[in-house]
Amino acid sequence: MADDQSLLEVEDLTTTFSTDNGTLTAVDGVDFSVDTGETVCIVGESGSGKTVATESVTKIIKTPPGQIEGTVRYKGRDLLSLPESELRQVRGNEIAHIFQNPQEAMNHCYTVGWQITEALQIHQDVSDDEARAKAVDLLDRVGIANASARFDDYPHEFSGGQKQRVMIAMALVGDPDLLIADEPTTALDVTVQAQILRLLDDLQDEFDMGILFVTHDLGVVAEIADRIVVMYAGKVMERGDVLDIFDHPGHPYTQQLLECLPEFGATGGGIPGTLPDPHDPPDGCRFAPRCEYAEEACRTGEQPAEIEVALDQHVSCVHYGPGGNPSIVRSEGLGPGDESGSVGGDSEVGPADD
Amino acid sequence: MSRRDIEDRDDSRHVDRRQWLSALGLAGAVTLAGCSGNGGDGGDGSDGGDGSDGGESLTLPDFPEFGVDDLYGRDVAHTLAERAFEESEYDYSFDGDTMVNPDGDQVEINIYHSAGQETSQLTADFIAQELGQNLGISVTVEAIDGTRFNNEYWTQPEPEGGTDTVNGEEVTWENPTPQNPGPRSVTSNESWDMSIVFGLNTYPLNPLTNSVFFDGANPFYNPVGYYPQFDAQELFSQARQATSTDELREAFVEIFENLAYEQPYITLLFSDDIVGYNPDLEGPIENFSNGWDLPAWYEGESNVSGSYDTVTSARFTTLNPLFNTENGAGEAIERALDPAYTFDEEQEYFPLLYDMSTEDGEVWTFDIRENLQFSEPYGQVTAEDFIYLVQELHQADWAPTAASSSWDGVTVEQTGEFQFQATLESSNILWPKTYDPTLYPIPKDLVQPYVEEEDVEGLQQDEELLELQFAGNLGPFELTEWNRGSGTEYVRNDEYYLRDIDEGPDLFSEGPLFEEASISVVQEQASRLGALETGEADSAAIPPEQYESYNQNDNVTVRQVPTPYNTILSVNQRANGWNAGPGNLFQLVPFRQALAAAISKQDLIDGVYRGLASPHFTWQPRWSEFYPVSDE
Amino acid sequence: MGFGRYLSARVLWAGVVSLIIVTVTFLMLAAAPNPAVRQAATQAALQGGDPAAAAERARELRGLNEPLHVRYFDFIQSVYTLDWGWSVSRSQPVMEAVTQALYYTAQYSIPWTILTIILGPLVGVYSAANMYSWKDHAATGFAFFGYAIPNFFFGIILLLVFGVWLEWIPITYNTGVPVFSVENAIQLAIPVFVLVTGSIGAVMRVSRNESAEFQNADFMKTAKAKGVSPLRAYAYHVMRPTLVPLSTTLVGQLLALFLGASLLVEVVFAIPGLGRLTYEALIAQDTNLVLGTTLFFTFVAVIGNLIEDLVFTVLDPRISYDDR
Repeated sequence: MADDQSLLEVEDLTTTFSTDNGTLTAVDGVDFSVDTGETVCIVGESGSGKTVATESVTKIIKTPPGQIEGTVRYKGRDLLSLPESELRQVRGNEIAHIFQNPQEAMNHCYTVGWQITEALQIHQDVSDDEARAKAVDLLDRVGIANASARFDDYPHEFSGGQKQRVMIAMALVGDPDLLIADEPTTALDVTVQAQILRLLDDLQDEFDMGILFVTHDLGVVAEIADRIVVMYAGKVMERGDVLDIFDHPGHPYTQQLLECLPEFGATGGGIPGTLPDPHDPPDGCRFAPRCEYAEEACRTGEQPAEIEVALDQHVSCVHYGPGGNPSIVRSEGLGPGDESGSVGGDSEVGPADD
Repeated sequence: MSRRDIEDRDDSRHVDRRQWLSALGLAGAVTLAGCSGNGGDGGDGSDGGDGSDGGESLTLPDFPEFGVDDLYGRDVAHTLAERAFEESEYDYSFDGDTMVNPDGDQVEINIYHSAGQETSQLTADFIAQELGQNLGISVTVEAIDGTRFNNEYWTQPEPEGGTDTVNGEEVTWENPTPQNPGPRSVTSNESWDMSIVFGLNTYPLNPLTNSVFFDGANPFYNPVGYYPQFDAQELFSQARQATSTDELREAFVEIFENLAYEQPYITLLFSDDIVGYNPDLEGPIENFSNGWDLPAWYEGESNVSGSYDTVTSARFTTLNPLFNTENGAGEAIERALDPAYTFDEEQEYFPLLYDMSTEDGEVWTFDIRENLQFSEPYGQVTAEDFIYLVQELHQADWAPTAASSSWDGVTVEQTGEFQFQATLESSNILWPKTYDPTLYPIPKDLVQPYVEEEDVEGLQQDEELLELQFAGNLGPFELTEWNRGSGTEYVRNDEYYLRDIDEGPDLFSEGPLFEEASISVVQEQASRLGALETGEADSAAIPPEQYESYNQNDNVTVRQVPTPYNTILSVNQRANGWNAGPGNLFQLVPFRQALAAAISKQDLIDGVYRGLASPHFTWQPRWSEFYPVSDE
Repeated sequence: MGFGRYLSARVLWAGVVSLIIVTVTFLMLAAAPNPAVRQAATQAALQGGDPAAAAERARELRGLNEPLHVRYFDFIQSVYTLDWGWSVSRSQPVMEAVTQALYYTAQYSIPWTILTIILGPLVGVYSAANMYSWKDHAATGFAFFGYAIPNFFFGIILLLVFGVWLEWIPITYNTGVPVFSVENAIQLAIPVFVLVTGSIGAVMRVSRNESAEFQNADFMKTAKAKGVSPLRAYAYHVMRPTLVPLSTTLVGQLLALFLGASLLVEVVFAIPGLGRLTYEALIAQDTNLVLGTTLFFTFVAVIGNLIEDLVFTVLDPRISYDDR
């Protein structure tokens, strides 16, 4: 991790939405950063604010009703204070997005070629032929067979995995330095998932991009992430190197997430309880209501400050703070997972769509 | 003041002429004496009976001023109604002010008016109110669609015919019609009491037309089951055979006197047509045959300028003069092709193409003007053209021309280049007024090919006929375009023959006094009125309810044109009429008189018709030459 | 199946449909008593002739005693050679009546249709883009006003204001002015306005609802993430998919409006167009003309459906040629 300047540096990012029921805080003072060539995963349950956080980076969420505060520094520029027209030059050109559902994310009325070249031509002054050549090349690159013929096909003529490949091509057409991939594999078949992940991995090297990857699937994380940011209810619970966290999950939430993985002997239950109401989050640690280790101190004040528990591994938990006892949560026993089988939580970690 | 009790006349078959005249004198005296000042109080100064006692009768003056002035009001109506009660075999009576049937219940009957027509509804409401006040009858007012009324109440879809005793004579309905399906027992599908849905044309020019009403077996117009108590057929036959105007008038006056007495329908009023004109237009007169002297009309100065533009609500089906049967299209044709004659504001015959004369009403001589020219190549209009037209088209079986029925049984014969004679089967001194002997000039050479082929479609579709291209100098204007959807356009005919005639207004010598003319088809009334108001149209009909606003409008001059169309209260004298109890009181003359006496015509005219109507006493409007008053 | 084959199949099918309709029409006409024959019989009866003989003669004259199939082929031939007979209520050939009326109808319905097709979706998308703001409410209010107020009534009011009070426009429609002239534009402005306000409402609502769905679609987020400007996003990504369901609504609706709405407007503004022609033909029981206008509208409907199908497949690539 470069100390001087990250590719993307997000500080104190807070995104709220005004709704009829009051203000909804989706992302509440989140920091994270992505370096060139690095893959950072934001993980967490559905509704934990991962997607909003990434979409706040280039302000593609609707404002209003959304409102974004904090700083987003991309190559030293504060994106949030850029005028909309300049921001548009960043979108698709320097920072590209891939979305969860390729079926919906493409406009069914236009050929894939049109949609790919659109992204190129609104940013760069290239002729139709050049644009086409580049798009076909990219389609080929992302593994679409017979790319030049398929350029003129419509999205519905592609399979789900192919669509996501097309989406990736569409994202890469502007040679972005940062790719934000929001659960790009969730909607796909498991075998296809792996292909896409591998493709992304390959492309990352080739294009030398930073990737900000959103997922709730720790299995995916294990495969691609360099670093992890664990989010819960709009707050960061834990961050750090992927191996460190998988080996020594600090936060009770992270622990429970990991327990859900089959490799860790999960029985397919999930974390008991539900996410707090984003209109009226609880005092203290956001996870406290669902945390088996929660104490009185967990339920007062603000979310605890992040404590560096190991090198570059930060945890936001009272038990690691001053006067806390990390051993309460650092037990090796993988906890109460045994009994979770019978609990039908409202929100489960699993192949949920976000 | 001498008055006769009308009871004396109950069994008289008809009022004779002398009675009528004397009665007129009486009515006049009454008016002069100021006794009629209070229209509501009919019994002034007489024996003081108020009618409700049942025993005493009011002494009433005799007919013909029936239903007006001193013959209007509660007391008169009660007196007359009580006479009807006496005539009736059932025990109707007045209980105080209320008319009760033999069961002692108030008489309740209904009246139908045309749905959606404000005037009709107001009239019905007014009648209901008057009958309630003056006769103690409870009247229910109901709206009905005209078509439905006609199909289910007025006519009997399958007329049955039959025989009945009418005035002591056996009458057989040999050719029953839906309108007159047979004797009183043969009725419409639905029962009904009173209706003001339909009015009638009284045919002031040719009252003979009214005879169909009285033919007993063959009439069109007797859907109410009225049996005349005078010898109507005989009087009509007298009129038909009259050889002088005096004889004719004598017969008609007697008919109309009797109708005024018997009130087959309760006659109410003649409404006026309201026509708006461009105020700069000089010429229009308030007259039944409005517009006969159009070639003398002008705008502003009396020289040739401008355009005479009118609007009409209905499209023209055809402008082929041989086949046209529409009023509107007739007007459009006559802008470019004069009919043979017309009637002036005195309803006097005015010769256009030819003059007609007769000695006895049977043999008529037609003298054709000698300055009439068709367009080339057809040359001059001669007697031969007319003879050919009558004999080969109107009287031919294969050609369904509009005038076919007019020439049935008429023998025509050429007596000179510009003269021909027509002999009728029986004399009819009113013949010109039937419009039967009017002919459009049609070139013989134009129709001859079709006649030889007996080609009806060819004749109907002939462009020269449809576009009036043969009209030569025969009309005030030349038709330049007939747009089937939007109307006709004309330019002035510089050769118009009427300029050289001796009769008529001086301005005919320069007529017409417009460069152009047009008739636009505008279906929407509001648009027609808008066109009138903005000067786009020079004349348009105005609905009575807007009379006031247009009368005060400087952009429009409003004229009231009297019409022969009446508003009448039809009372159902058939078996399914009078649903208030046993015995149909409507069949009794005194009862119908009572109804007439119970309704104030003047109040109706003032209140509902905004004064735009004249009272209706008998089957002719006041301005008809057969209206009894003109006989004074 | 390619588009070319699809197109020819559709056109062929349209031809078959029209033939079926024409055939059914013929059969119904053949089964119904001929008014001309009846008229001839009545005429004969009135003049004391033999009604039966006259009817027979009339039948012979019109070829009605030919065998059915001969008459059928004659009928088909005259229908497709546009020889539609004589209109007795207008005294002109039916074809001439239809073309004449079409000439006037086209003058207002073409601008009307174009404006509706352009403005309706525009206002709808604009409304959706500003959903629940005052702009949306204003646009919706405008659309509903035009939709709710009866055309003929609105027409009369406008005629009163602009024709009678202000005298900006003529009251009576002048058929004499050239098609492309200021006078014609002036006299057609109000009818077109009335019709557009009347028809825009439905189009606007459909496109508002459809585009509301599409503007929140994921592909809009994609477009935004690509750096597409909002204007371009609405113009390309919302408008285009909106047109797909709209195209089906539009064609059918405009066809339906064509007769109904335009009849009253033609009556109010005295335009001698197709609506009045059809209506008057029905009222006058002018069999040939009724047949002519019916056939005309049938053909228009068949062609309209054909166009609708084709537009649909062009606009929405997901529609497969094979399925239809």
